[in-house]
Amino acid sequence: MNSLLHDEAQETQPGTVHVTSYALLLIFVLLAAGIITLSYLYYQSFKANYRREYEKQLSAIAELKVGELTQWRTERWGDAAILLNNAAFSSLVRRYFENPEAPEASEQLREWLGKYQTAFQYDQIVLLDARGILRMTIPANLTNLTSVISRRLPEVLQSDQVTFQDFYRDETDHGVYLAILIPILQGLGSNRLLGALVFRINPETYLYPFIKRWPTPSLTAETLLVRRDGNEAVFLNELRFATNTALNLRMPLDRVTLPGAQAALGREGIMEGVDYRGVPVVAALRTIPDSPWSLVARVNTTEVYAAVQERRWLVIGIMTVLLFSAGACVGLIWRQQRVRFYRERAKLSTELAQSAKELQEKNAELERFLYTASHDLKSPVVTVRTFLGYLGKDIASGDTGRIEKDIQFIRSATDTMARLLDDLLDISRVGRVIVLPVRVTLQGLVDDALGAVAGRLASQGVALTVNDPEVIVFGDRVRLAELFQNLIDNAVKFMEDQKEPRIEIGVERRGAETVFFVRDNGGGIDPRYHEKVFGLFEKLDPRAEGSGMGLALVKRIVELYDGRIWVESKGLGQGACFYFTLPAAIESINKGA
Amino acid sequence: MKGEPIVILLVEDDEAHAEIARRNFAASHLANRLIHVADGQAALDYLYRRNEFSNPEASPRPGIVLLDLRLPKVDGLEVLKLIKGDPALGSIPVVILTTSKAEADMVKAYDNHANSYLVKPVDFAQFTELMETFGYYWLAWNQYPH
Repeated sequence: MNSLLHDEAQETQPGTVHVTSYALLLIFVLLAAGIITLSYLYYQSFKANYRREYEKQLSAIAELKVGELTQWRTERWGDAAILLNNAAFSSLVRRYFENPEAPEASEQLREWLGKYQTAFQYDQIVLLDARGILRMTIPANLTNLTSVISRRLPEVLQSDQVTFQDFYRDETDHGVYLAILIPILQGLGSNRLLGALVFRINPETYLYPFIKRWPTPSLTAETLLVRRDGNEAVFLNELRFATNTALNLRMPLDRVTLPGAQAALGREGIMEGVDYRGVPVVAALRTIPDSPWSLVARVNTTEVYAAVQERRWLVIGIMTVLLFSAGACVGLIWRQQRVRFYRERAKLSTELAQSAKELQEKNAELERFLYTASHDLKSPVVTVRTFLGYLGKDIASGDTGRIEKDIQFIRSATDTMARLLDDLLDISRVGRVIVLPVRVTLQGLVDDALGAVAGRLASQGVALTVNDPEVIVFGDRVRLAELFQNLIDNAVKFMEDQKEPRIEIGVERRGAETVFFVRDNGGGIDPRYHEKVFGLFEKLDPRAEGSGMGLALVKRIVELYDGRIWVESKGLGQGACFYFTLPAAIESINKGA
Repeated sequence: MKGEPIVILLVEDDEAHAEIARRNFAASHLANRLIHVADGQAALDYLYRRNEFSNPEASPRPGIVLLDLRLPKVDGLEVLKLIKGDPALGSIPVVILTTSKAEADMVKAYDNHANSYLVKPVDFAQFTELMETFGYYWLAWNQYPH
């Protein structure tokens, strides 16, 4: 048991706990670093992936728009091309020009052009003759052309090609329009011009809504058209976050962060910049083939990163939870270590206090031993010296009666001394001389003991019984026999005037304890002296024989086997029973079995 | 001094030492009476007139107690404590006569109001002289109230 405690105590020495604390702190730091690094790497990769995906999406939308705008322009060119070299149309126009009052040609022409207007959603259609005079308008009653168109007319009237008038502002209604200018040829190999057609397009009908349309729900995304005008980028449509911008909003081309400017310069691809409002944006830039237009598909950076931001909080959240968990785990382990440490320390200090107490007790016992030994050894010396003095005097005076008495006292004192010395030697040997332990039955021990006291038992007619002869003990056979011998001797010595003296030896089980006993029906012991009887040189009856060391020796032997001894007696004349335990002699057997 | 013998109660477990005391007192021719008991319990029984000492005629109150310290049954210090703790007995002078020179014993004895502490000398002449001096001092010179 004792050695077991000891091993456990050695397992964690106080010093190692600090080491463990530092090790745990290091583990936590490493864990935390790992968690933070992993979180950061995950977040960065998520951000890069997301950004890439978003750019792809932005590019795809821009591509789609460019495709549709190109398609739209091709269709417009197509509309124009049908009329450019159309003999039937040319002859109808000639007939109408020659006789404007003739209802047949006029109505036919109006119907034809009207179909164009309604089917292809042209805002206005104007027919001019070669001199630039308005000859027919749809809707009717238009009186003059806007100056932008008028300026371009001579050029159109001299060419045989369709001309595209890009976004312009009409000075009468201040609206933004586009126009297709188509020269009408004489037809059939003749290059002479009859006049021209002007198809005016209102971008509000289709173009602007189309440009504005964004295929996914978005709070900040938009597409816009720009074209280069000298050193400036001109915004061609109405913007999502600004009004009255078409043809009005112009920005210098040297603004490198402005997507519109970069697009107007012909750049293509993805860029991050600051838009017309001064807000950071991610933009996809495309030029529209065969046109002065460039397209910008842009979205606020904050919207792009909103999901990333959300993910960042999530990552931070998970990271915090992980850090806390790691901290809690490490903390728990640390706490357990501390608890164990303090428990160990408490145990150690208890053990220390215990051994200090034991040491103190041993010291006190040794002091008592020295004291009693010196006192009791000195007594007979005093006797011898004193009676030697008397002897001298009595010899001188010839008092023979006294001489004999003196010698008697001297002899008795030297006998006492000799016995004291023998017993002292004996008791000091208990536990000091190591004898190989053997297994022996209770009966065997009693038999050994009887070798020394049998004669006395017989002479006093004492009956001795052993109740549990088969009980086995494991130890120094001679010492254990001496233990029983002294107890039997003691019992016999104090039988007093018992008519049927009996001694009973046996074993009682008290809980887990095996308790041996030696019981007699003799004189008994006054309860006041139950402790004192085990003292060294302690004799209750000064006239009793012996040095008063028998029970002290018994006690020492019992203690040698980690046991305790006590006496139970109801008092004088009630008999006495000495109980004792020998755990070390019993446990060895259990261990061996 | 009316010549009434002073009763000395000698509490001594060693028969030889009791004999020494007896011889010394006999030699001093002082008017006294020595009563010897061999253990602490017997001393208390005598003082309180119990058991075998219950007859007050046979067990007169002692004028002085000569007490050994190491005694069977009840220890000498315990006897001293009981005598000095009892108002009826406390006035009886108690002289410790022992082989022990241990400081602790002396301190305990005086703490418990021992009137004197004598150590038995190993030398015969000295022992005899001690007993003589004791006799003169406590039995001749010392005055006791009646």
